[in-house]
Amino acid sequence: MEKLKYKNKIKILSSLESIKSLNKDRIRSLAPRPTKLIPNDGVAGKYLLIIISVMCYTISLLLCTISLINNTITSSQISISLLQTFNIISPLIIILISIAICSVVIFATNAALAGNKEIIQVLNLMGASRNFIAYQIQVKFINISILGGVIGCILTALTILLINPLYNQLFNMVYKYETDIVIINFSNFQIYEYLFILIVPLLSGLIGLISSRLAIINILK
Amino acid sequence: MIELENVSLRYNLNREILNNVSLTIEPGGFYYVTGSSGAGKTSLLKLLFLSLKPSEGKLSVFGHDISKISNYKKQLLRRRIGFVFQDFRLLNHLTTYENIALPLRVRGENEMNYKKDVIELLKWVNLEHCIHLRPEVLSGGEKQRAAIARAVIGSPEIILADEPTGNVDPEIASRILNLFLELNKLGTSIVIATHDTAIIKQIKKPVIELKNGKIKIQK
Ligand SMILES: Nc1ncnc2c1ncn2[C@@H]1O[C@H](COP(=O)(O)OP(=O)(O)O)[C@@H](O)[C@H]1O
Ligand SMILES: [Mg+2]
Repeated sequence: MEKLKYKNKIKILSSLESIKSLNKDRIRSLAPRPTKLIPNDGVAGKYLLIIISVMCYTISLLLCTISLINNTITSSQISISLLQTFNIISPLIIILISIAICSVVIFATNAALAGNKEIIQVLNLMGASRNFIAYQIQVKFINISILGGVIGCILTALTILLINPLYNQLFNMVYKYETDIVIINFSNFQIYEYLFILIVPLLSGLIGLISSRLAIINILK
Repeated sequence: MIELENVSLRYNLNREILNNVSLTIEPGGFYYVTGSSGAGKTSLLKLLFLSLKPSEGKLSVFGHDISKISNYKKQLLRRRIGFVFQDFRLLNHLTTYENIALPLRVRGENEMNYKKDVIELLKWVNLEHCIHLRPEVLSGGEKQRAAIARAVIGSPEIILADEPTGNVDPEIASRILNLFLELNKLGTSIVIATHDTAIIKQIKKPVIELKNGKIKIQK
């Protein structure tokens, strides 16, 4: 509420000031931020962010597990074949989730295009290039997918930090009974080895960029 | 400046809106386009604005044959034309100021460079009091003037106005007409589509009359 009032005040001030004296610095300090050309519909954005975050969380968790496993020394044949299966299946899952992110973004972009059809028409009539219009729509989806990736990464980091000690305990407990269990070299495993999951936000940002552009170019023709 | 050579236009097969029409819009000219409702005034302006393509014939705008140009080039040409839409086409989520600045904004220009011009233009059309109002709360005449200001801001070489006096009372109508006359004196070509004979009598200029797909020009 307080914020809103403040904003209005700035708007009114700037309208008065700009007519009286057009001192450039003065305008810069008073001018309200320009309204977005394509308005945001907040709710859809929130859901999209949650969905993409969860998907990115899954992807980065899988990536971590792959790396963890491939740093693992194991003594038993059963474990080895299990790990090999995992190595094959998890990239497939990652690809599937990426495709899912793609289609979610395409659907959302289409919805944004349909919902803002008139605005897009007017921008077109004002002489806006296709790239300009595409960017106005895309920027939201790119931001959401990058943010989703970052949230996924943070969740993954938290998960690993929580699970690692537990896993250690569990491992020691089971290891006492000399059952068939993988041996993980924890001492070698440092936090920086998880840093590669930072490609997840980049990846999902890229997916967001490409898929929303695909959806837009199809329609703007 | 804009040339139509044997242009025909139809939306569907059974009726010709324009039938083998040739017409030249001269730089610095001032024209009225008249005709009864449904005669094709709006369609003719849309042709000139590159919103429609001729079904037959050749249309060249600023020396470019428009059957051959790319989408991007078309947008560049459009930036040299100001269009006042019959239904204004103002965006309700932007303020009047932002609406008027829109043609510059979509060109990627920096707000600091055009803020002053937009405010001056707002004064010129007597809309200073509306600067931060949204178009939905403006009166018909104010919307009309905002639409005109938006068509003017990009300093176009030609302005196409579709019934610019259609929704306002006679006093404002004649003021709007004078705005166009002022612009014309500064060198901008003007094409006004109207069925209001009163304003045609007020300022004598060439009249392009549309009837059954043919045009008649009265000097
Ligand atoms: N998009 C369209 N599709 C089909 N017919 C159209 C379309 N736009 C206009 N028309 C028809 O073309 C004729 C001319 O319309 P218009 O140019 O708007 O006339 P005016 O502006 O002179 O009233 C009308 O009969 C109208 O029904
Ligand atoms: Mg019309």
